[in-house]
Amino acid sequence: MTVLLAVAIALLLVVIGSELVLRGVRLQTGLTRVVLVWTAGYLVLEGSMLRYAGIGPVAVTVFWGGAFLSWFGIRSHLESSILLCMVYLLRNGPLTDSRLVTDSVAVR
Amino acid sequence: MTALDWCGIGAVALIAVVFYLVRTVVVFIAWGVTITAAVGLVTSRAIDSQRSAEWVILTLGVLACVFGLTIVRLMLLRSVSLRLLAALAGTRDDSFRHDLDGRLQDMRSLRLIRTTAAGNALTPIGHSLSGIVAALYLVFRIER
Repeated sequence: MTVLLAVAIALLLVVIGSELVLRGVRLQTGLTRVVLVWTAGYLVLEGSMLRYAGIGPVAVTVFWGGAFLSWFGIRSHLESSILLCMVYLLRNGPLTDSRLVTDSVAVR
Repeated sequence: MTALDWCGIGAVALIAVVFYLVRTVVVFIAWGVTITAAVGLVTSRAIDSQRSAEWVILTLGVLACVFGLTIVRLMLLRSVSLRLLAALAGTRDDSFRHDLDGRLQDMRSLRLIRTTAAGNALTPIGHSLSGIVAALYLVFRIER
């Protein structure tokens, strides 16, 4: 249980760290910094798991790779989804089709 | 390397092959979940209590790979930006507008918006989603 908690905390810290290094820029722009954060997190986690829990590199690598892929997908989708952008724009009141399309393109 | 390691590597390799071959999202998810479940079941019998944490991490990792690749597939299929690039390459200039109109249709079929005299308005579900999106934009500092 402690091991799983440590992995969850490491994941949370890396996600927070990614947002801090992005500093509000688009994901594609700050991707190098994000990859560095995830790589650093992986090395620390892998070292800790190997040393204190006897967990080999394959399990941690598969987990970390899958976690990065999932985070990247969600983060990138959130940033680029036109549907979500349209829903967001409509929160202030109704908009016509053409206005909604124009505004969605304008904020990108 | 242990048998668990080899099973994990095999599962990820198999998922990658399925991702390449299968273009339908639902079919890919079905394959991915099946592979994950199969690997989880097979390896769980050979794991002692001391290595259970490693088994959980590996299984969750394989599942995360399936989830992440599903999102990637969805983006490849639905991304307006990517479709715009493809349309430009193929000189189909009506594609962009068509894709945006498609999103409006999606919102109607998902009951996120309804048509009013003033235009498109959010339904209660749409309002809830809009609140969540606004919060996520704020948290992730995505400017709109």
